[in-house]
Amino acid sequence: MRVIPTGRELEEITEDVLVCAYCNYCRICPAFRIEGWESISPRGKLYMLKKILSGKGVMDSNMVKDFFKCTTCGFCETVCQVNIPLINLWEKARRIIVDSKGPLPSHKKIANSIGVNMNPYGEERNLRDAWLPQGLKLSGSSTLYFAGCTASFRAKEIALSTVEIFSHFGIEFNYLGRDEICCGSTLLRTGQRKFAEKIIERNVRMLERRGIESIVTTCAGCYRTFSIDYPEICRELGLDFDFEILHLTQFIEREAGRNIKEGMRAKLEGKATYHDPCHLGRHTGVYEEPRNLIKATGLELVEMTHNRNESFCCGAGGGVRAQFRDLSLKIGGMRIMEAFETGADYLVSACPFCKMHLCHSKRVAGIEKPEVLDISEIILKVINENG
Amino acid sequence: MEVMDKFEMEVRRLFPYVSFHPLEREIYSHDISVLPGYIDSIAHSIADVVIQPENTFQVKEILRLSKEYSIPVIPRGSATSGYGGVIPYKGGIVVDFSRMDWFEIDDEKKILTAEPGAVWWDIQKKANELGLSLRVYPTSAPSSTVGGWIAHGGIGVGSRMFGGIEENIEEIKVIDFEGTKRISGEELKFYVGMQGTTGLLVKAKIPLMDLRNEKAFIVPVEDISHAVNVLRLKTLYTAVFLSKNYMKLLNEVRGEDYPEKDILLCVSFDENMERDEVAERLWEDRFFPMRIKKKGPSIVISEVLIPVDSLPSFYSELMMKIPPGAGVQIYFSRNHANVITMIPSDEREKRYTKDWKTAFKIVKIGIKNSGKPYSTGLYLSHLSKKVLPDYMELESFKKRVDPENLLNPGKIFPSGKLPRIMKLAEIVV
Repeated sequence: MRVIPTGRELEEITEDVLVCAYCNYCRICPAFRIEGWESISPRGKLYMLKKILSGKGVMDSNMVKDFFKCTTCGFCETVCQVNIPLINLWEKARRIIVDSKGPLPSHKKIANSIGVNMNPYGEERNLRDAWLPQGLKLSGSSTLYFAGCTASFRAKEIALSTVEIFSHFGIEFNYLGRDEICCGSTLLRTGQRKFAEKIIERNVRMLERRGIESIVTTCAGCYRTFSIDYPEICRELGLDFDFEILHLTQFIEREAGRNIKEGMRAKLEGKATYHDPCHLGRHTGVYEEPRNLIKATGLELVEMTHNRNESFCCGAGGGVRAQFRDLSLKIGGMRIMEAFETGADYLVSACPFCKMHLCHSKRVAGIEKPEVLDISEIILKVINENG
Repeated sequence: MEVMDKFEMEVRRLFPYVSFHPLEREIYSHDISVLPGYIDSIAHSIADVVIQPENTFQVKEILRLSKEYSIPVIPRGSATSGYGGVIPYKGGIVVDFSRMDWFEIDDEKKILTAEPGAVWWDIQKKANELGLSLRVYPTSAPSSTVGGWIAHGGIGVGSRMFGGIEENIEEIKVIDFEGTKRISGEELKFYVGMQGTTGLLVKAKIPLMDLRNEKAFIVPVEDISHAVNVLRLKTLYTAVFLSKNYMKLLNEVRGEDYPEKDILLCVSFDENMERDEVAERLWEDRFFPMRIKKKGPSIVISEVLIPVDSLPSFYSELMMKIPPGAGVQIYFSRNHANVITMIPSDEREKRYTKDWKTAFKIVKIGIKNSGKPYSTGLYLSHLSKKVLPDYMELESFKKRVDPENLLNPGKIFPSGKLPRIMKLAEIVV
């Protein structure tokens, strides 16, 4: 089947594809660095898209796979001479591919799982709030803690740390419990837009019913999806979307930053390096708040070679961990080695998916240090130090 | 068994990194140029196989197979040039050197030893950590490779002080059908700028300099003669002339507020120079000359190497020929100027062919003014005899080391239909 977009989408993609200078500055792509073949690189994909759009090429199954080996980390976009909005372009291309050829097997499995259990992990929906400490009182606050699928099922320590931090600072918050469902990020990143739209509509209606005004996430993927994708898709669907979206690091810095910085007698000791999650850093521009919080805990912050908008992906995003596990672990391994080279005691991130994947990559790499922690765990650590 | 099946079996057996996949072969069969349809239909060809060697032994094996099966060999760096140097014009084995990217810096001797796939900017970062710096590097340094630039030849950042890449090589190691050779001194001319038509470069020794503070500043100039006069009075590391229209294009695509006038961007090691914020921004942008492509979405580029003394007369003729929207950037070497004319265009429209004709006209004006195209590569190989002073000597050398014309055929030394078509096009222009 031919994969060719039409109408406005065709015009937009064509302009982006034609403007590529083929300078190869996008050789920094983590997946390309591992695989080494240009069909994986942004330049190679743009060249092939051009061939397809001009009717001189047909997308075969190998090329489809190559398109999905990208973690959509967006590093290519930061070095592009001609400012092609590459993240957007890759996602558009994926959507068109999926619409005509269907999703890749692992991505289809994820969608099936979301269809049945409202999470990509195949976990039972009624266990979603199993992490919540018994006896914890929830309020009808208009500020919602949206734990997300990974912290609810795979990295529960992050959700737990978060609510403990809230309790410590007396922050009232709301939680959807078993009514919380996937934000749709995984579906969007893997080109399954139509299904994602249904999830998004359902979420928006739920948030409205609960009287939510602010959404706090610990997941960088949820944060990107709520703050970038929801407004755009809601506009297209004719839905209102009027919520304040905050990542935990922004929320805590605003609500309790000074308290952590000046109100804690005991400080943490050691060195920490910070891994910018792509969805929180390059995609949404949150760089300093997590760093400020790490420094406020007393830890010495040391930067990896790749940091902030030049940060290196953990390797998990864009559906790569699900479909191309080896590749994702090799990318994760490179990041772990960078962290190791800083001599840091802790590798801190601000995303449960990054944490989960970096821990896995570290096990595979077989190195002891640094300990991989989420920013919420670091903050809770300093709170506990102070008794 | 068919000969090509046997070839494929042998390739797969010998090399771990190989691709016979049609899409991959297509991807490895282009450079940054986009030709008008009628030329593309003649020039465009696809590699038979892409091999990524990891060491010199594998490079030797590639040459052995090339000879045995009479299959051309096309070396490829980062493919950031636009003269067709990496196009497998007659099919063949594209040798992608990206896995041979090892390099080492002897900080006592201040010497770089690098494999062909090493990227200039990776080297520069490492050299800077050691208090050293490359003397010269191309403006495509973030991706272009040691092998690529040496094979292409030419001038770049630092050339005002240190000359072109050919003047900054201590020694290279090449492999051809006769074996491995170490080349230095006068003999370098048989390899530097020859686009792999006489041998495959597998190692280079390049002298480095101490890292010094670079001070960028702008000299507003009335015209190109003024710029040339300014250059005669100053000792500069780098000097780049940016035309008024190039500055305008930069402002349009970047939302900058650069002065829209002819300027000479100078970089010096003089500690007494004042810091100039606009100049430093332009200097930081030195790696992004293609930014103005955004204006296109396509761009037609003409590069002509002109003796500095002939620059004023060439430039005044150039200004009469180029469309009003074109920008000009001129990189200065010790005695030459590389005049880069950039014409924003659109490959989907008829004017694209017209803009290419303009690019040919610029080359002709350049030759008339004692200049030559920056490279002849594939597309301008019909001009090699006219513009390369040692052409006869080079041709006889080529025939001796590569009698079957298997080393990057069609480049520098004209071969096949394309040079005849291009010659005809030149006459029409």
